[in-house]
Amino acid sequence: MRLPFEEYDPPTPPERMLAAIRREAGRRRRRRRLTAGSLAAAALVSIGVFLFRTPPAEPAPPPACYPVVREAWQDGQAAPFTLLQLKNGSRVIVIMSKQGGKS
Amino acid sequence: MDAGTPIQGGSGMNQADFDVFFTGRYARASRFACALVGAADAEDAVQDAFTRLLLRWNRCGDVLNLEAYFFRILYNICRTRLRRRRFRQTVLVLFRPPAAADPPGGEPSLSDVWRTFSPREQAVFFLVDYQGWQPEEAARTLGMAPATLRVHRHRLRQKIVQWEARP
Repeated sequence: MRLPFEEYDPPTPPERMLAAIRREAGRRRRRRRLTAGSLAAAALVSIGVFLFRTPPAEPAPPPACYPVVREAWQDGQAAPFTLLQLKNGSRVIVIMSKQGGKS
Repeated sequence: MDAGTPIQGGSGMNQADFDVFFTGRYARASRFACALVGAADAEDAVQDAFTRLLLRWNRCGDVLNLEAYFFRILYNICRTRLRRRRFRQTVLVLFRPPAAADPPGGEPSLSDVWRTFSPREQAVFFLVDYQGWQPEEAARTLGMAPATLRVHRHRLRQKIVQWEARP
């Protein structure tokens, strides 16, 4: 009984096949190193970006809150008053006193 | 070292050992691949298997039977190729017109019968009946239980006997 594979002889000589195997192994090794290097570089970049990320922005200051002045009293009587805005942005209540000074 | 001597794994695995291993197994591995995937794909499968072995050669120190290890790699590659080929044929057949049936009266050749063997049966036949490996060793190489290997051999024999007893 003749088997179909019995007469098969590889057409490529062993020396050429061995050289091809070495070339292919070198190519795969280089590709493997390249992949591993790329992954390591990506991991390093990710860690660097995480460590040196910009700090979060300062929270916005709450909106200025001013007391609502409805009336001003002095010595048990309602006194005229006015609101003044200073250069630094703050406001003051000015009440005209009976003595003529400001409080 | 002689090309035919079996190489046992050891700590001193160098490239010269690989050359010796390759020289001693190239023809046999090619026939094994030819038996499984056919002559057209045999060389590619063998090259792929030897390349994989070369990439792991430095770590093969603990392998007890390098030949069995190598044939396992080759067997897996051949099975992968067969699976891909079957998938391609399955997909392509959807877009092709049905082929004309073979004319009646054609006598099946041994190659036709060989193609009816499953890849496992082909591998079992090659290693045990053709190469003379011990069934236990072949079963370990092919990743099957010894009882499974016996079943495959039994089916093989039945197919061959049927082919030989054809009218």
